[in-house]
Amino acid sequence: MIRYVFRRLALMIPIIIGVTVLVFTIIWFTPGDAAEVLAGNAPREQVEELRRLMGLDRPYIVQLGDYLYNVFIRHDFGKALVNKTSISADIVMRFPKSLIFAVFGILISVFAGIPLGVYAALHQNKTGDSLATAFSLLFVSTPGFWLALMLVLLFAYRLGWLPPYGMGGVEYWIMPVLANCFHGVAIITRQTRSSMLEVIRSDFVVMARSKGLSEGEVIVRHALPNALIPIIAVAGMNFGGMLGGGLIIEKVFSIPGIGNYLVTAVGQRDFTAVMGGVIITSLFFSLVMLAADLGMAFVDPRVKEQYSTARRRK
Amino acid sequence: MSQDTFLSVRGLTVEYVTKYETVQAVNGVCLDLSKGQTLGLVGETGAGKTTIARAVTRILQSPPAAVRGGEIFLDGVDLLKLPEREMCHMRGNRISMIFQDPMTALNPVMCVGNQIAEVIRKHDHVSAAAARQQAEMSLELVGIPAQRYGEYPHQFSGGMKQRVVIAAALACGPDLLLADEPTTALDVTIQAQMLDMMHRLHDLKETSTVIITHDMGVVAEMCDYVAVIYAGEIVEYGALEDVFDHAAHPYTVGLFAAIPSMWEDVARLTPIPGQPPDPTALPVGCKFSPRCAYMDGECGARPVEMKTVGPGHTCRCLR
Ligand SMILES: Nc1ncnc2c1ncn2[C@@H]1O[C@H](COP(=O)(O)OP(=O)(O)OP(=O)(O)O)[C@@H](O)[C@H]1O
Ligand SMILES: [Mg+2]
Repeated sequence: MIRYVFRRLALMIPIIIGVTVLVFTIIWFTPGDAAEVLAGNAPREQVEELRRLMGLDRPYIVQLGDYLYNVFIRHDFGKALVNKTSISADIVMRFPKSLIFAVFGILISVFAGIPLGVYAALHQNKTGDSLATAFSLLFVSTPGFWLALMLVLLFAYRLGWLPPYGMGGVEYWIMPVLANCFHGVAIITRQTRSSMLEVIRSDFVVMARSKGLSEGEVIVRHALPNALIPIIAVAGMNFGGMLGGGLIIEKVFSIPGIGNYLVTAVGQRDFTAVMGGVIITSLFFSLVMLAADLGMAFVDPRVKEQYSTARRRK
Repeated sequence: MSQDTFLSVRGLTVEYVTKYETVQAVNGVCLDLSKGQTLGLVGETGAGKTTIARAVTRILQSPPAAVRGGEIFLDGVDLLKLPEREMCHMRGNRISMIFQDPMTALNPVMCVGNQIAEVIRKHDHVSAAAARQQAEMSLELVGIPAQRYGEYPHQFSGGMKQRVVIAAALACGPDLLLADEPTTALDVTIQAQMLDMMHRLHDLKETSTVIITHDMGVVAEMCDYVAVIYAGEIVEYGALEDVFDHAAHPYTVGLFAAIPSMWEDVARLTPIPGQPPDPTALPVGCKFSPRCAYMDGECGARPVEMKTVGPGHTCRCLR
């Protein structure tokens, strides 16, 4: 198992490099660059001069190599092209906010979604189930930014209970976290319901009942652990999504997180800033996926065994 | 219901209701079993044997299952009227069931030992350590080394899983054991061991046992009484010798003709012609009549009552 973890960690190196090359290439082929943004309406020669100073006129392969060398060998993200700030410092300042944001989002999603899904499965086709299903269908298909705007309209402008945007105490976090997690709650509710429905029909659940366990014990000890595997997979994906995908919501609420940073950087064609944000996000995304896989191995001995046999085969 | 009847099932009727159809799985089944006796429940696949056992334990999944009528008395208590809480004390403790399919009856993510220890903890109110010790003993008793306590079902063979299921069912020394094809996944030597274990429990605790099986050999070895069930109805009921030596119902006769015999040199086995009736549209009269060689106009007309053919031997046939 430990070996498996190390293998997965090692595997992350090529993945991150791959992501870096891919994103770099996409930015390189996007029209416009940081020099144009910086120069504003300056004449053409001035823009060219700036481009040369920033090294943006060099061939694609040289720039890419240079960037990879700086990041992976010298461990230096460099300076932002437009704002001239240190990207490492920017990330250290902003990433924790996004992380907290995503952690709260996933915690709420899991702790609300699983009970809701279990409830719906146990009351299949009754009113409670219909409500829960309708709720999750609604929020699975509602875009987060629209929900965010509606929340702002209601709680900030109409009712005046919460500040519309910005950073500060708890009251500033409520709406963004809500807007960010509704989708997660809905997805986890759906997944929990369907995998619970499958599991509670199994023979071993009936057998658990035949042992005289109470319904609660049957659900918590036998049904839920078996339903958990797909739920963990979905929760992992969702957490990853919240890490990077909170960007529009961060924009709506002016949260200075990594998402907001990325949106601004893309607007300025500031490739070093974009790259820094993307690399750190994909790094955490990979870590979350690894954690989800380990979580699955933890609940299911059959998955765990796969990992150990995979190791033995080598 | 006589004085010493321990389990008494009266007119049990169970249906499976789905959106499209209603399966009449059990139709007015009556069974009586005294303390310490063993009843064999035999019949074709789909006859409703598992449904009867699950109805007695009250673990039918509802929906789709619906108990439409009948009473089930255990020691004079009507189980169908018992509150769920008290029923929980019964299950696994006084009544326990050996599940038919060992491949699916065990929880794949819980180690086998804990699946036995769990029932001991629940009913005997002992410490976790004591329950573990008892569960290890149960494993040894069914011939599985105690060191394998912490392994998971997928690491076990089908026969070993079945033995774990048996160990869990016997762990609390039940008064009533419902064994649903307890030996199908076992080879003959292990099968003999398991039957022997059930025999011993029987002598020790006076456990009343219902054995559901296709295996007439198991019936002959274990049972005091035999009930032959066809399309959710008991068609013949009596003491082992009576049913084996003087089978009265054409279906029972057919069942015996369909098993190979060691003593008679029968050139070919005689299968019963035809198929069991569609349980969503059962015949009005005798349910076996469409397949019966002796069928005449009377048979299909109206329901056939059980009639006495000998002392304690009844049969549902007009002949
Ligand atoms: N969950 C269910 N939904 C619908 N019909 C069912 C369900 N379970 C059982 N039945 C039907 O009820 C009837 C009796 O089934 P049961 O499982 O009691 O048969 P059985 O005698 O135990 O058969 P076997 O010897 O194959 O185990 C069958 O016709 C079966 O199709
Ligand atoms: Mg069955």
